[in-house]
Amino acid sequence: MPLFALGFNFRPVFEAGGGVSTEGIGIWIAAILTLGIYSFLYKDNFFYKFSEYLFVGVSAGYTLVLTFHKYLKPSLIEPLQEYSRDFYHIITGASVPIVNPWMLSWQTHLVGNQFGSQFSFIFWFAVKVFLFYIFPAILGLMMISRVFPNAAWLSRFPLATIVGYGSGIMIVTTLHASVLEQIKASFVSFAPLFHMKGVDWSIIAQSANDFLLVLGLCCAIIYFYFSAEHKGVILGPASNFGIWVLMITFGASFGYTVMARISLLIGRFQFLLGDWMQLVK
Amino acid sequence: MALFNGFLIVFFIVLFAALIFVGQTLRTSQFLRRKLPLAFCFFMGVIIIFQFFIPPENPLYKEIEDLSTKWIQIISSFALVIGLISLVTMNFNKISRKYEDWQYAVVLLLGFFVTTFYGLRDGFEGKEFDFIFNYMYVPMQSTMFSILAFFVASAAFRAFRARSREATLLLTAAVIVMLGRVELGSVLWSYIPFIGNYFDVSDLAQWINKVFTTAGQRAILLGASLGYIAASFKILLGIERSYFGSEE
Repeated sequence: MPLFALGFNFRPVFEAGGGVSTEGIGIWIAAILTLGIYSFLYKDNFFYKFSEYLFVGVSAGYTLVLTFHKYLKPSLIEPLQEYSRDFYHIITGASVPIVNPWMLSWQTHLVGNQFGSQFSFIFWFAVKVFLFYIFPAILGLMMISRVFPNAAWLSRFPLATIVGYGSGIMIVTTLHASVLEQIKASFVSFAPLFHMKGVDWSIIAQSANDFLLVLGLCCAIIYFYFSAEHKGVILGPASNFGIWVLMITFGASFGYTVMARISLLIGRFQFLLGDWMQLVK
Repeated sequence: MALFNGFLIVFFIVLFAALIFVGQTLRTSQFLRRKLPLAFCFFMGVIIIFQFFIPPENPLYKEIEDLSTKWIQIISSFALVIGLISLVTMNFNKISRKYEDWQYAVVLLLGFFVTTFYGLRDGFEGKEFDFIFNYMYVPMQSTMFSILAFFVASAAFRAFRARSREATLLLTAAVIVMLGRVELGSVLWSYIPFIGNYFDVSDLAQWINKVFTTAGQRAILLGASLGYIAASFKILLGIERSYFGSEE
């Protein structure tokens, strides 16, 4: 305990009344794990490996819990429970309020209890539940069939569904947001420059920026054009300028990434020096 | 409700067993193995593209969106299970066969099972799960990301040598953006003769971002998007099948 001897005021684990402080224990655990991970900066060691493996385990567990509560439960388990309960209550005629709006509309429709209406209700109920819940669940189970080598080919169906969905989404959304909208945004107007009364430096600066942006964009696209050699009066200099624009882009992106990491680093040091060692308020 | 949940679990177990049986029985059918999944992929993609042409106020738009989102959420949730089964079995094997560093696999499995147990039992509001999230998951995650600052700095030291005109541009842009993001940068900038007093480094960083970064990123985005669209069409038409695995 040499650090205590030096007078460091660490976050206490015990409360003033004598009980154990959950927050205090949590801060100590977080601090030890943080230092464990930073110990890798010296070299690979026991503390780093312990923290690293624990992080992988906790992350996997957290992802599973998140997926279950955010996606699987509201998309499959709860609706199946709700539909089945309402179906049972409608069929048996129990005087219990129906929760699901779709089932409620059927309940009002079924007043009079004709055989045809009941048959139609059961048919559409089966179609809806199968299409919305049972079929995707079957596809999900097919995904797990990868565990069994002889039946692993079944996983091609859910994979094809996801890939098909992703491709469809990609075609429409990418075409709209990343191609058409970007091209539209690049058609800047220089009209204010020509309708300017006197010398307005803000309009001149804006137009110069717009011109530089369009020129940079065109030149960077020319750099990515590989069907012709980048030589001659137009393609050569344009391609060179395109490289400069891309280099500035990469440099700026790198700068932003570094600063984001530094912010996280500052956050961790604030935690260690503030919450744990209580040196910084 | 407990009876119903029990019925649901039994139903899915029986369904899974039936699927495995059917899968093993029909594994030689080329139609089922190749053509039908491709048809699935095409059908799903066409439905999504078709939805784009329906006005959002039309009920069919909402139905297709609702159905496709639910399908993807459910299938993706099951896909995660595959990854977790792989993680758990791999680490169990590591422990049972006493491979190198097997002790850490125990830590991993312990972390996984404890988090899963409390998370599934109590949800996000549980005291124990909240403790794991706030005092283990969040600090470890931000520390893991922040440690990259050191590696990025060391990589920058090696890469940022003004050996050519392009490298000089990269270095200059990065330095200006980094200086423009902190107060110290503005202070240091003010000591540069003439330009230091004329404009601030944060304005210069903003200008670089507004003009050059936008132009460069837009060019990359346009090129990449056209590539994405072409690849998506290849997938939908069954020309690209590598996602089926090594057999294709």
